[in-house]
Amino acid sequence: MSKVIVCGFGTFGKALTKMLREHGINTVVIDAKKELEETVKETGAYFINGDATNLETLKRARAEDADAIAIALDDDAKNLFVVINARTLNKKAVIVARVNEEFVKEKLIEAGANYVVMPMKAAAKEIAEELERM
Amino acid sequence: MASLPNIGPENITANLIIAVLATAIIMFVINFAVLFYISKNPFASSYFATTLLFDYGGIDEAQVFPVVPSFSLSFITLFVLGILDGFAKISFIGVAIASFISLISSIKIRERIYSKRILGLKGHSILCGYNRLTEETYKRLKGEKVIICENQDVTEELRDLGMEAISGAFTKKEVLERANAKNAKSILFLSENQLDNLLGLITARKIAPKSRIVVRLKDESLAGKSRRAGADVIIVPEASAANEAAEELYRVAK
Repeated sequence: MSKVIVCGFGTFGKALTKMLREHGINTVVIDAKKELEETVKETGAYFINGDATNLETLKRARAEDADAIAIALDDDAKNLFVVINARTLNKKAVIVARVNEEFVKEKLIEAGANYVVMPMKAAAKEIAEELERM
Repeated sequence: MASLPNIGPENITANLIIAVLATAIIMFVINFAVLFYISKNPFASSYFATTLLFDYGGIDEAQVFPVVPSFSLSFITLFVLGILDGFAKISFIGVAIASFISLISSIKIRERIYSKRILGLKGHSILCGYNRLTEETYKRLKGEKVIICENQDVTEELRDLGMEAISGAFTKKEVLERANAKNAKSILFLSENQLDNLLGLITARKIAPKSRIVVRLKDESLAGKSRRAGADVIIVPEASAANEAAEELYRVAK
């Protein structure tokens, strides 16, 4: 995999970027907060300052060349918007999106996301597995 | 604008008891006053004023005759006494029933019933804080579970859905004790407030040294402190989701 774009550098985006970088995967992070630039660069990823919901920002990040796009914003509606724009620019990339509400999950898949993650479900699964192991 | 008075269950019960007593006293006084006015006999008036309150048969001339043997009761007198008698009975019985129902359904009694059931559990899981993560975790955990929720209304709804739930702040020792923490297999602090979770962890470790404790955090940098304080499992939901997303991306990359 040559390039992954991560839209949003919150807790989810930061953790994902670190994991991708640990595996030596080229990563480009898009975030509206300029002050995150240094933190992003410390992970070894590239930083694009801008709003990921804006098509021009995705073009600046060369989304059309990415192998995968991870959408990690806090807001489900914004994530849906980014999925639509990302799919418009890149028909082949794997799109992984974060969602909070169950009812939005289907909409993200319909909009072009290949895989959807829900933090609370993922956490609950991890808790149950950890307690089962003990 | 004046604020509304507190009409919690304890206040309703107390107010109803006062209303019952006040109704009985007022009706006694009125009945006594009417009978005394007619008979001028305080002892007989007291006796019959009392029987008028409690006699279910209703007032009739035979009841008041001993008081006023020579007085020919007019229809109006009987009518008025009858109205007073009926009103007293309806008020007294109605308020008594309402007080009884209020007492039975009072939260304190129900809490005691729930607490007794929970105190009989062993090897159960306690989930502290009610939110989306608690819902998802509840579905996945095996065995008996007890939810601690600060909101009384939400606690009642959870009970209506068949879940064991108690209301209170999980950071308090007595609330964890009500949830039978010392006999719990696992205690999970899942609130969105990570500082409350840490506080709960410290409290729980003291009273449940053998339980496995799970703590939800927002900031991974607190993980070290949480482990030192006794947490067995640290959960950062966004990090769990990132892990899942990364697994999917690695799988696709192969």
